[in-house]
Amino acid sequence: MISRFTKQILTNHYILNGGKLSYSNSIYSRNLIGSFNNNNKNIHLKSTSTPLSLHTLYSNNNEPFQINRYFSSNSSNNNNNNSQEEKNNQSYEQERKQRVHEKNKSTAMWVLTSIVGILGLSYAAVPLYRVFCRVTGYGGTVREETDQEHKKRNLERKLYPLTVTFTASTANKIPWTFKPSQSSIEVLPGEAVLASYRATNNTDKPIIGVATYNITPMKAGSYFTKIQCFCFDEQRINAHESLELPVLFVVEPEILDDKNLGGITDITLSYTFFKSNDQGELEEI
Amino acid sequence: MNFAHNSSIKAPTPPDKGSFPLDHDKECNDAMGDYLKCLQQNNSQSRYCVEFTKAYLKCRMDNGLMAKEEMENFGFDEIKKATIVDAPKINPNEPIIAGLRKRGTNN
Repeated sequence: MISRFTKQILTNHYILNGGKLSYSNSIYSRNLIGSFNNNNKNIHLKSTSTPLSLHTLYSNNNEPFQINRYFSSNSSNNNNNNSQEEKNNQSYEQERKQRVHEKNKSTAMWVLTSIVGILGLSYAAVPLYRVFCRVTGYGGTVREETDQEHKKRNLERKLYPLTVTFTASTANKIPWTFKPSQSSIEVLPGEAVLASYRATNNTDKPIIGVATYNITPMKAGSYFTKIQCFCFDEQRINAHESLELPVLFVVEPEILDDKNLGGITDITLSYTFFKSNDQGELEEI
Repeated sequence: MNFAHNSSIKAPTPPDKGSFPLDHDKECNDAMGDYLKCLQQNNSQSRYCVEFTKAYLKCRMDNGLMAKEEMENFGFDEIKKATIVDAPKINPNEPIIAGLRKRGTNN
């Protein structure tokens, strides 16, 4: 005669085990929570006494309130049921593993292609950047111009003359004598003016130098256009040779309209000659 | 060179027509000498020495020291259309009063 207490325990155990009669489980030795994990894969029993039971919380496929009883054959083939369960468990396991494996494979492929793609892009960026710079001239890239358009300046306006003073200096221990041929010129804005510098190589060896220029005041620099000069290019002077270095420049007439410059009348153009680092190829001209 | 934040300072720009080839054989030194003499005689005013400038540039072009260009392209004739006025006189001792317009402007 089973007491009511043990009966209750048995029915609870029956329900918790998914309605399966498994006499192989002993009530006390098996961990009920462990059995939840093991048996939940095959549990389709959803209805319990309370809507939110531990059963529905722990189950993998959450279909609450669905009555779907899974009854193992209520016979004594519990061992067969167990092996069947295990087989189902195994195939389920395998299926899941296979799905995960496929997902891993596709992720790996994706990551690999993206790595290869980025590497390829970084290699391709070098010629692409060169083309971009050549087309846009960004950052002062030298561009080849076949047909140069000449800027027509509108000079039908009032102009007053400016004085451009010329200074010259040498730096970087270059053994040249470098001075302007004229100290200053009175210039009309918009007029192409010729100026000249003279450089003498005092040594017995040909020397290559590079010149750079500067305009003072700084704000006037944007209005100073050089048509042709001898700057930024490597210039070679032979031993004991004296050379005429001309500059053709224009002061833009807009300089007279600029309020920031406030009626400026004096501009200074200063050239500095540096000894070029590249004293290499000394060819005979 | 980061000149972008101060627009009044421009990075040095390369010349429009590039660099003059060097005159090692001194073929155009005479033309340059004439131009300099003219400048000295005219109180260093370049507008009176346009002919010598043209002569020098022509010498350069003939001797292969400059790319051939029409003389009109340099704008030597355009300057004749301009009217020449005196430079505005600015008293350097005039004080600058904050809030008023800058000295030297006519507005």
